[in-house]
Amino acid sequence: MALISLVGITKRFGSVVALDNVSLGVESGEILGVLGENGSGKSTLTKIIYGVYVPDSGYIELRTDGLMRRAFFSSPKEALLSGIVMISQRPQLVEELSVLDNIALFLGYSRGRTRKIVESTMSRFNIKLNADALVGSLSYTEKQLVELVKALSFKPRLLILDEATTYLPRDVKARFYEALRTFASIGGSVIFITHKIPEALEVCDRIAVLRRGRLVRIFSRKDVFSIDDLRKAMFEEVSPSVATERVEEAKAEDGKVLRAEGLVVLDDYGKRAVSIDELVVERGSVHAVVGVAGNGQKELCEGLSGLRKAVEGRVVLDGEDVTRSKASERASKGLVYIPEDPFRTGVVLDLTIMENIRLFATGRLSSDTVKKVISELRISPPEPRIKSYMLSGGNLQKLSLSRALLLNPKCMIVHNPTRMLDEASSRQVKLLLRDSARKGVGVLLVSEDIDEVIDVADKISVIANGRIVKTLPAMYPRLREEIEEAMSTYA
Amino acid sequence: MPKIAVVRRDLPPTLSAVVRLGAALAGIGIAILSISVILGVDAWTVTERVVGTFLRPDMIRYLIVFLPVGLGLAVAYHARLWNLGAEGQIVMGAVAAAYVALFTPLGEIRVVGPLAALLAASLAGALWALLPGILRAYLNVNEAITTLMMNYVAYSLCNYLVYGPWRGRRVYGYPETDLIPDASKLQWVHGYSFSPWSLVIAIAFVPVIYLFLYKTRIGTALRGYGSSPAAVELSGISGTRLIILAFFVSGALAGLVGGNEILMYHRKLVPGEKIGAGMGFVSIMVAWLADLNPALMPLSAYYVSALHYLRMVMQVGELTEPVARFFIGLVFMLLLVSIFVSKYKVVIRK
Amino acid sequence: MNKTLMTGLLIGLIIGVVIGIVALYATTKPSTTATPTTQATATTYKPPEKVKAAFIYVGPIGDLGWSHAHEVGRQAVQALYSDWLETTYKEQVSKEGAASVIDDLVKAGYNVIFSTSFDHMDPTFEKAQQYPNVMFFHCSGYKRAPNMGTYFADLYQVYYLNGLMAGALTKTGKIGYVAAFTIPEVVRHINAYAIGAQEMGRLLGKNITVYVIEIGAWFDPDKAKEAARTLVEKYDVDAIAFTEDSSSIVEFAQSLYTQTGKQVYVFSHYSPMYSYGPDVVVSGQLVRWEVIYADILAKVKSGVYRPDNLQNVDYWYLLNTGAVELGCHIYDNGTVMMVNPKFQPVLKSIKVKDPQTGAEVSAYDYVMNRYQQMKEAPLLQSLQGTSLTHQYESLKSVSTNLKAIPKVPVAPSFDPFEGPLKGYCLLGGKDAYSRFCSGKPVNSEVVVKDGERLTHDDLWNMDWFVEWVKYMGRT
Repeated sequence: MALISLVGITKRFGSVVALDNVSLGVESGEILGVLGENGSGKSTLTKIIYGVYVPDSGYIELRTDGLMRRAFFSSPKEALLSGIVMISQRPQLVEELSVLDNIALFLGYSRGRTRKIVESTMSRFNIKLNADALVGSLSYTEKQLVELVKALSFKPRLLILDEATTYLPRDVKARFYEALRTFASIGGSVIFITHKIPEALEVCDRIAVLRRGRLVRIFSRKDVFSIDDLRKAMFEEVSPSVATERVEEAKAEDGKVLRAEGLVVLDDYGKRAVSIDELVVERGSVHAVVGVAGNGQKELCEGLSGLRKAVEGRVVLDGEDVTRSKASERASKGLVYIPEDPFRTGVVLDLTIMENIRLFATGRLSSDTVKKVISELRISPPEPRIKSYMLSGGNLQKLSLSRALLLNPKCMIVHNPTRMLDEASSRQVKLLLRDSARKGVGVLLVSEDIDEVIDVADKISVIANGRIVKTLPAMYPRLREEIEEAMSTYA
Repeated sequence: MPKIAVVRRDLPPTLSAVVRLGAALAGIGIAILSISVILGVDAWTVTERVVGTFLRPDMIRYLIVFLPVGLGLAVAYHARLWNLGAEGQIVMGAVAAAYVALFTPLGEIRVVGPLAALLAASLAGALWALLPGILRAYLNVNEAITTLMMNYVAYSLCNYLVYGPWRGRRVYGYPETDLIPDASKLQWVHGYSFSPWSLVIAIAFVPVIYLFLYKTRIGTALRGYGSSPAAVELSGISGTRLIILAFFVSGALAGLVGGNEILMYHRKLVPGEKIGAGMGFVSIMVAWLADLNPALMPLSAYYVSALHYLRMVMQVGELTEPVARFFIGLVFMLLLVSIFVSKYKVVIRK
Repeated sequence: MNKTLMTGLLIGLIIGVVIGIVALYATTKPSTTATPTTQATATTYKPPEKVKAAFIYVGPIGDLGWSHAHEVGRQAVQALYSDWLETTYKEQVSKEGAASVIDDLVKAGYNVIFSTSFDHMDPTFEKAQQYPNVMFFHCSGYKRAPNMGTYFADLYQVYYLNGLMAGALTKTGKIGYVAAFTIPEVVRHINAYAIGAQEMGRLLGKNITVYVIEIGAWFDPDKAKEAARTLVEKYDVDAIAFTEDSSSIVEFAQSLYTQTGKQVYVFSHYSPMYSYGPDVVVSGQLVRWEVIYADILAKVKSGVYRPDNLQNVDYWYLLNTGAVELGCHIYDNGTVMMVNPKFQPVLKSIKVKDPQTGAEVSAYDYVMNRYQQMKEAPLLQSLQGTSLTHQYESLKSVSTNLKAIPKVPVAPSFDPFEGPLKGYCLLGGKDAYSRFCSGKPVNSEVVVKDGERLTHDDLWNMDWFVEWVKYMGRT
């Protein structure tokens, strides 16, 4: 029995067609995956269901009082009233309030009533949370769990997860999936948006694949299909190199391009987030820092790049002490930082693609340069004059990465560069990092993805609680086991 | 049941400009009609007066004020720096120009005198804007409040000068300086109250500011700074310097206008309230009517200048001053509606 | 999208170019109104068939105050000369807008333009150079040109009369004045008021001090009220006169009276304000600009005033002309309430000895006698219309050789500004402009000798206070 169906949805942003005549239905009690590469229209689709965008043509039907009726949402509030709740990549919570107050605010109930509901939700879906904790004091992972509890407490008919699990560590992901299955088993519907094939395979009953705004195919669990079929639907052709392969090893040259000594950095709440005795990035090599999310990675990157003040210690760039330099000065001296979140600190959304490139072009910007930056990581749509906010998260990340090379960096700090990217793009990014190292750049790759780290890095450090607990060369035997062990022991 | 909803939309800049232009014209039409219906004033009389004012070059006297100030403010507003201090920056420009013209030997030299006075005026305006700029850049002090307060400080400073040390010998105790030397005056076009040179300078800034904001790296960074300061910082461009630059440019343009008011209009320093005359605040509207686009700024400045002038000369017979104000208010309200229309659309679904 | 931006830029530039061309066109080809067809000379000058007069006001017309008074004058002459006079007005014209408004009026064909604020003086003067065929008259300024005359109706005599009443009524001996600016005009009024109060006070054995607060604005009801409150609360003042364009001080005194019963005497300024404070307004000053406007326009119509002979036209009208009047209310039948009936019995019950006649009279009669003395000066008005004849205004009389009438009176038989007077300079050195203070340090003593009457220039340039005036500062 269908709960909601989209009929012939089309949405354009200026000259960009984000969705092209997409029709799709979700059954009651079903987890429907929506899979697609970066910029395929997944986010636009959810935003239309959630009332953020209004389609140019097409309509939505929703089961109301047992009948399918046309529904029209002009705001998320209206979608909520029809029982649709969305969890996105970023928690939508008031930091200054407690978990309980946040949920009470969302439900519109008293604290007492909310507490009962929250407690029953947590026991039913097997989630453990301190409801009285201040949201501001929680980690990202915990905040996403709060989002989940908040959404489930609402008792929605349809739950939309827009890449909501992308940033979560594996074990939390599993708890998320479990909760979703429980939710589906009691008749709830889920739309699960992702660009990671394994994620989709793990949790979804059916998988709808989008490519360049069109619905390509719907895979059902009952069907027999291979991963390659999925890949083919996603990327149009199965690229032979998509399978995890080892990028060729580069020899580390001599010379420390970036060195942090006794570096101490505080987090937003004044707590010690990073405390590092020594971290060295060598010219022409990729040094990876790997760890479970929330172990000070962001603060480390910001401390090194200058966005965050170092309270102790020093940062030396190519022999020059830059501890007191601002981020802009470090950038112009060749220390480039590509943050994990292109929306907030990476790309300027109000500017066009070309203008975002111009920010990194110190001299005259030729159209050839623009073309090169766009084609380097195949940014889509490849139109330099469209505003950046029309790009999907993955494409923004690609833009953020490929333009950084224009500054001729001596050292690049790259934080979770591939997390938002599909497989093909991820591979390009990895190649780009290797290639930069070959050209003599020192690359510091800060990542949560062990596979990625093992793929790319020459040297790997494990970070836990803001400290480097182990550093190993890439040639180390039993590398993966050592890293996993270190990550879990100290976390 | 049909549903009505208001939805954001992005019109291409040209279309947006056309929509606004159309709405601006329609607004005047509707305002004329309302006035004639509500107050029984002959519609033709009003139309004649309004169209006449729009077609006459008299309003250039105000265009020379609103255009450069609007351009300068657009620079700051693009970076989401709320410089509300154009009024004070105009006044400080006026003070500097008056100083050069009255108390330095340059004031007696043709061409050089006015140029030096205008340069000093720009500098004074820029420096006046710099103080809130520096407070914002280094101490993160809210610039909207500081710039607003600096307006009144500028008034007081100017008033101290004209009431005190600079009070003229031949003004019978009125708070004014003596007249500036003839060599410093910018002469009026016959039959009008503006100088062609001031107009040329004002218009010359349109392409300059446009190219700066849209074709240079720093200008682009300025436009991005408001929404993503960290992203701009990471591109190697110092946010602190951007803030200071934005305030400097907008202050310099306002200061220039203030200097021009002295050389072209007042010919002496008078109390601050009479120099700024609220025009620094009206300029904020000019900047936003053009959607902060320098290329559209001449249109917006033309429109506001004509209405500004219209308010004063419209009063004929039944068209009393309050009616004129009502009319202008109505036009601006309709213009707001047009801005809304160009940014949102109303959707009706069954 | 860049294309569209470029289109926008293009539009901008086109507008710019069009404006530029229009401006250049305007520079090279002077508009027809300004083209001097034939230079107006005495022989060829033909007075205008129809006089089109425009009045420019700095404030709103409203119901009170300066601009209102001029508007009353305009309406009076419009009714009087309806056969050949057409008038219009523009209100709320600021200093920065005055020139443009004049441009507009000239284009609309107005041939006589009255600008009524000191703020309009410089723009009017410059525009007079541009439009040599248009006649300009400016109120309250000092700049004149062949086609620009000046006019003013001065209130100092009325303030003196108000001062007499204040001196009679005050119980504390401390009286107050709220001044807009301490420019010579207002300084003159303060001094006249203080001289009146002191004269009456001395006769009654009171020690009079006048406290002055300057508010720095012609119209600012809030500041005026606060200044009045300060005078009453801090300086124990119980009689206030003021120069400010609203009824705010009157209302303040009235509310003080109704709420606490405290009696503070007030003198209404410029407009009839009795109705705002029937329990506190004693008297006041009234102005009738129509007296001057009627004279000017009649002379324009008859060709006496031409665009080439206004250089010395300078009206300085006092009580004797009827352009100013003592009073605070106009009754429905058009007569003036000179003194509030509430206070008439009080004033009539106070007896003083007139030093001029030695007779004992009531304070009320004393005031009225002085009023009559200043009213009656038949020769004076002929002197008050041009700048060249102002010098004779202070002559008390001229001698003839005739036996029957050896002396012909010129100025009124009484004027408040007659020595002996002692004062102190407000300004000094080069900043001062009077003969008493220029070149001397600030606070230098000013002495007007016994029997010496101040001349027109002395009154115009007054930059000193009489001794018993205390300046308390500017708010």
